[in-house]
Order: sequence, then structure tokens, then C-alpha cells
Amino acid sequence: MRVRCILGIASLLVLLAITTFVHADDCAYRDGGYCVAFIAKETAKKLSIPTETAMWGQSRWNKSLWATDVAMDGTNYLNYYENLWDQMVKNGKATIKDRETTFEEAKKAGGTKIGGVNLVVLAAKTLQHLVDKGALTKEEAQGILNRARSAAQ
Amino acid sequence: MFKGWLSKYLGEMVRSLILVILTILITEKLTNKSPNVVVKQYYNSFDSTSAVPNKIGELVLDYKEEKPTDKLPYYLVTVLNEGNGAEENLSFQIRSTLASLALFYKEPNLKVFGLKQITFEKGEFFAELEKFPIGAVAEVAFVPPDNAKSLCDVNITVAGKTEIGRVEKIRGVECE
Repeated sequence: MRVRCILGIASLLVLLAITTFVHADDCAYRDGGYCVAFIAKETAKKLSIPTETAMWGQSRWNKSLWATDVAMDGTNYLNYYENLWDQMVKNGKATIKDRETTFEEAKKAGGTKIGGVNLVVLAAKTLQHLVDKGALTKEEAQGILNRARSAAQ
Repeated sequence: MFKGWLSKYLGEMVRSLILVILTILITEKLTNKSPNVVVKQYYNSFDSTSAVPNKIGELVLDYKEEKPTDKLPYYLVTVLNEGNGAEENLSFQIRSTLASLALFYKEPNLKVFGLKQITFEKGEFFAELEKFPIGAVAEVAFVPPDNAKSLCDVNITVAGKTEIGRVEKIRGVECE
């Protein structure tokens, strides 16, 4: 009985460790307690844009051809949001002025700056823009932010 | 007789000629295999002087300001092939007369591109790559100087067998 109990607890611990590892690995870039990768993915989903397309501007980018040693490289996500906003401007979902204002405000914020931009603020501002445009409800947008915190754990 | 033949078939000949030219142009456009090498530069840092808003419009944000130790700041130079063809014998040089640059890591791992030569001497970085396929990305990170503005002075040149690459201005530093 005792052996079964120990085995059961051990299995649970292994399962927990695997879940934690897989979960942590899911987030390609996190900052300030938020998983930016998660917000980016969910935003692309809401706009019906394949994440890869928005990420690289074109779907043919091959990850195996990346020669990088920078462990916490958020520049991918800066490019992602630049492409996303370009597409929104092109599709009439945003104006050039909206784009400029959003990026300027994300530049003014403190914290971790990737290319001068706080990516968490940029991601949240993009969600708020989608709320303003009626593409998302306030609750959906806040839900994405809240889940991005759990995803960053 | 020739004049008669010409006037009869001239229109058709011109139409055929236009069609052939159009076909050639379209085929060329579709099979354009030229590379497009672009260099992007980023100054990535931690700003403890400005606040992060806790409200973005109607959304609540709870940003934890924690500086990721030993990871920031750094100056990142990214070389990308955004074109439709591979580049060969690509060499790039990063140098500055004002800033004293040091590599963030010992040496970037560029072996995947058939590294022919790599040097870093007196703050000047040079690499030569045998091949640079479509979608290739090579990154080199540097420890930035105390005055980030001096990164505006960094001179980057990139050239391959086919063409000279385009260098975009640095993101994260306001240059004049």
C-alpha cells in the first residue's frame, strides 16, 4: 500500500514537472510577468492571420536557418507587431496615425525595451485597438492578457 | 506583293510580338531568384526611469518591472535574406570609430552558412559566409557602449556575390 502511494506521488510529481517544462517552453518571449508570444498568437488568431505569416511577413522563414545565440530575443515580436500593424493599415482596420500613436506610446513606457519599444505595452495597446474597432470585446482582450500572465509562469 | 502581305499580317505580327514580350516579362517576374539582404539593428535595454502604465485604455495591466539580470542591455545586428534567391560569398563588417564594441557572446555561431572567415579585432567585426539561403537570419550581439547614442556611428557594410545589402537605421536609439 505504502509503495503504491509513493509510486502515485512520484508519478504525479513527474507529470507536474513535465507539464511545467512544456508550459514554460511554450512561451518564446516573456517580460514583466506576461508571455508576449501568447498575446501575439491570440491576437493573430482573432484577426484570422496565421501567426507565422504575421511573424515573418512571409511564411517561408525557416527556423533552422536562424543563427542566433541571443537567449531572450524579443526582436521577432517587434517585427511581428510591425507587420501586424502594416496589415491592419492595409486592410483598413487601422490608420497610419493609429499605428504611429500606438508605437510612440509603447516607446514612452519604461521596463524592458526591445528596439526602444516595451513589447507588453505594445501588445496590450494592440488589443485595446481591436476592442475599439469591435474586433474583440473588452472581456476577451482582458482574458488574453490574464491568460498571458499564467502562460508566463 | 510584299506590301500586300505586310499590310495583311502586320497587325497579327505586332500582337504576337507583344504577347511574346509579355510572356517573357511575366516568366522573369515569376522566376525572379534574386536575393535581398537586409541588416536590422536593435538597441535592447531596460528603462527604470519611465513608468509602465497599469491601464491601457480599458484594459488592466500588471507589469512587473524586473530587470532581467545579465541579459540587458545589448546591441543586436541581424542580417536577413528577404529575397527569392540564395546569396553566395556574403561578407559583412561592423565597425565603429566612436563606440568601443565588445561581443556579447564569445563568437556567433554562423557555421550553418558555411563560415569561411570570422574576425573580431579592435572592435571591428568581420564575417564571410559561403552561402546565405532564402530566409536565413544571422545575428551578432554586442555589449553596447555606456553612451548608446554612439551606436549611431556604427558603420555596417554587407555585400554578396549578387548585390550589396541594405542597412536599416537602428531601432531604440534616436539618431540625428
